[in-house]
Amino acid sequence: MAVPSVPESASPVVGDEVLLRRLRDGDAAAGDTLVRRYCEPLMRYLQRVTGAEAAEELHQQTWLSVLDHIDRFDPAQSGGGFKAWLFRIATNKCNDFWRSRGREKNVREGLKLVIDGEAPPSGLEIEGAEQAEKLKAAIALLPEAQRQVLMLRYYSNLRFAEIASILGCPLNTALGRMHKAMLKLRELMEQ
Amino acid sequence: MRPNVVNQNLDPQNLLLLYAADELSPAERRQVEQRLEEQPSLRDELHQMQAMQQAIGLGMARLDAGSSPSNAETIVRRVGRSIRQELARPRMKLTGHGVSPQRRVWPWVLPTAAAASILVAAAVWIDRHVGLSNQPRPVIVDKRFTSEPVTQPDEPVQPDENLALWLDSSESDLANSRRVEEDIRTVADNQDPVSQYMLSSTVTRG
Repeated sequence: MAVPSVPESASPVVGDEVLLRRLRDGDAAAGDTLVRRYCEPLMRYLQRVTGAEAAEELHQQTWLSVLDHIDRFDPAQSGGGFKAWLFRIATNKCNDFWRSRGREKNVREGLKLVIDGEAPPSGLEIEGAEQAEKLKAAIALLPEAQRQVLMLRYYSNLRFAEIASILGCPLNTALGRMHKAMLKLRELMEQ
Repeated sequence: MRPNVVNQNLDPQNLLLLYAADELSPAERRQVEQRLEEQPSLRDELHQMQAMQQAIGLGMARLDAGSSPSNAETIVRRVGRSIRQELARPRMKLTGHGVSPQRRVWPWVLPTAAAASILVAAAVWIDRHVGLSNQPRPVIVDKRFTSEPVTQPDEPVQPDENLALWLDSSESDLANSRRVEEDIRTVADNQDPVSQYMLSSTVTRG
């Protein structure tokens, strides 16, 4: 029997795990709440990692995968809770995406998508806008592994230990990628 | 409880990242701060790293502000529709974890095929090595592949032409030999006693 859902606005403090349990019981409105809650960070993460065109499709696939594996989620074992689990699934979708298409081709296309996929900022001063464009291009030039760590850190705000777990690498490796990504960005921005 | 990361062989920059991100335990923070006091170069590196993180954060915020997700509500509705469609499916779909029908069939097919192959191989081996090892094997000749003419039971038996010719020739030979014998007897009647004896013995031998 479906548990009646509570709208997001009426009770914003309903935890992710509670909403997930309701969704598992067949409450589609709980699913809506979860999707709305994570739409922006998840979409931005996917956009920055794979490009604007693929992001929407991967976003949908991520949520369908959440639904498909909902019985496997164990909050006690999942180190960052539902958010870490969600970003782990999204990261797997990104990896599938990269695998399904030629990596080299995607680096070129990804760069094009990241650069062309968004309208230029309208309300920002010229210098800021230029810097933002440079940053966007620099992010697209980062190696995939470094970009993933940087974007996971920025959009999911997960701890580095959780990011390392999501990526299936040691903590030192995840931190090293982050450090290299920052150095590379600084170098590209200074050019 | 995770092990103390300061005591692990973490790179100094990685340790600073954790420190800047406030992901160290109080004890670990104290250890790092002690190192920072002792090593001015490490302190400079930390300041550079924090400035870099701040710049990247600011840049990312500008990027995101410049590309507001105007279609976010559309995306949410679309995903919501997909979720409802999935929920409307039979409950088995949720617990089946997307196992395709093909994957359900294959686990039966392969062991069955393997078992059948083993049984056939065993039967052939037993037949060859155990059952008839000391007995002469019967020779089975398939008449379909021999040169002998195959006659159907209902068909009338045709006389053998060769046999008829052979019988005719033997009959004529016999008649000829009888004629020769009579001729000899006729000639012998007109000879002296010694010639008669000689001729009669020839006829008897012949």
